[in-house]
Amino acid sequence: MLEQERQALASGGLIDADVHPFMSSLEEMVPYTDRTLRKRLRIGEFKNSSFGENTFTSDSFKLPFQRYDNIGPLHGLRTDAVPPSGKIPGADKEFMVKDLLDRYDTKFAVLNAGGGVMAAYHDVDLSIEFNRAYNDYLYEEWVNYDPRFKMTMMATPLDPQATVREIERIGRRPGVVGINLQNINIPLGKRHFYPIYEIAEEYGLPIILHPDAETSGEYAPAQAVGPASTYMEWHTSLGLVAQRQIISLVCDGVFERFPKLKVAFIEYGFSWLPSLLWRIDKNWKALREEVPWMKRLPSEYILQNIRIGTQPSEEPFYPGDLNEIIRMSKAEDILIYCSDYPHWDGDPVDQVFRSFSPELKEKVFSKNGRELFGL
Amino acid sequence: MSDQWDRHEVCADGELLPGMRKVVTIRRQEIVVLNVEGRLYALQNRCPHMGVPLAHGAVCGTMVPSDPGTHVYGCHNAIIKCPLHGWEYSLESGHNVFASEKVRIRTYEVVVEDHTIYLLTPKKIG
Repeated sequence: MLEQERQALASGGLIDADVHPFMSSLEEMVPYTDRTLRKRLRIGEFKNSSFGENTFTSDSFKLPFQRYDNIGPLHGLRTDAVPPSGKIPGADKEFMVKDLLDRYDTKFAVLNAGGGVMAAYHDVDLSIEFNRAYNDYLYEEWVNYDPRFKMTMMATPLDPQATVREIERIGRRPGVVGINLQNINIPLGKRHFYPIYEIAEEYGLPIILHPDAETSGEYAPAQAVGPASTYMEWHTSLGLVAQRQIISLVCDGVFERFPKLKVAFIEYGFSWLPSLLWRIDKNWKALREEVPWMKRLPSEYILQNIRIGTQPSEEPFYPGDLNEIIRMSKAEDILIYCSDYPHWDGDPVDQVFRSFSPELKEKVFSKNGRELFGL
Repeated sequence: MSDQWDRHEVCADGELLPGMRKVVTIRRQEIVVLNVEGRLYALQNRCPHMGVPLAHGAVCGTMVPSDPGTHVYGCHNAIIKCPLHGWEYSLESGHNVFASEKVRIRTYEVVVEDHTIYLLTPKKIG
């Protein structure tokens, strides 16, 4: 890390808002499941048990199929993050601690589920049970492994009541710093979600959105215009999902109802912010009669209640122009650094944002994340 | 009054009936005089946003600030809406009503004497 970064982070330390733990197999969840769920997931004593003596391989439950598949050898995981143990990247805690936390002097890393997202899955009951077990797995196996690991808990967006019960169950545990809601095909401004927002606000837990359900499950959010042809098309379009959701949240008055709620969009990039802010403000001046509950400029709600992960950072023709983008969108207090380790499109802290001033680095790498997650 | 105001004749009061508007030019500034349900208003005939004549704007009410998910109609016929981007101005004060925009259009006093409508402008700038 550059000395400049060290100085910028001297006060609060590096906060990395997006790190992905992976399971080598669903068997890792066995200790956190009851017999019924093990049967449904075909793990533990039910692994390969269809014919009693492992004669046939029935294999474990298939997590939702990711229809946009990264073309890399590890489907989007970094080959330089393969641990000596031979596990897949992100599945070896000991190695991740060395390869990420120690290397970059990370103070806190927020774990967002990697490769195990049931948000848009057709069987909502199974999704609820899976998420409960997964949250316990993540907490016991990862958060308790290293005090630098924090986690967002998986939610089941198709069943807000079940999500509320799950938040009541584990939302106050130290180390649980947010709710990983996931995008489905119901816009976030709809009252469907209000029970979740109510308890999130009460518990002081930010809602985070992170791409995954966009590519999996029957309740996936619509692709802009229509289905993408390739992973590249899909990945480039992700910023549109975030914009659409922010527009929905603001226009439906979510932040008038829940003024302390924070909603963070992680891994949707951020260079689209000026366009969104300017366009929504201009429209409000003309059309506010439709949304009379919006008593301030829409951009004011966005800058107060929305937070944006920096990754994957866009790379302008002239790198320094990122500073202009941030100035134009008044975004210096809402951007939060994310490495996205061990994904292919990550931003190493010692490489990105070299043109930022020390003050801006301190906010993006540390202060904004500490404030959002209460760290 | 004449010490402070210049009087400009607009028309006979029978020529500006409820629902009618008339544009007058005073010192190269267009001013629109409106009769809204028998009440007379006068305001600058130019939206400061993009310069469109407000004389073509709808006189209307609007949804006043309310709780999320509720609509409350109010300000009936107290607002003029720019015909281009819909900016709303109070006919009475000229303030851009709810947009907290630091935008205001100029409004003028209107009086009727001897069946004639007069528009008043301050002497120092009129």
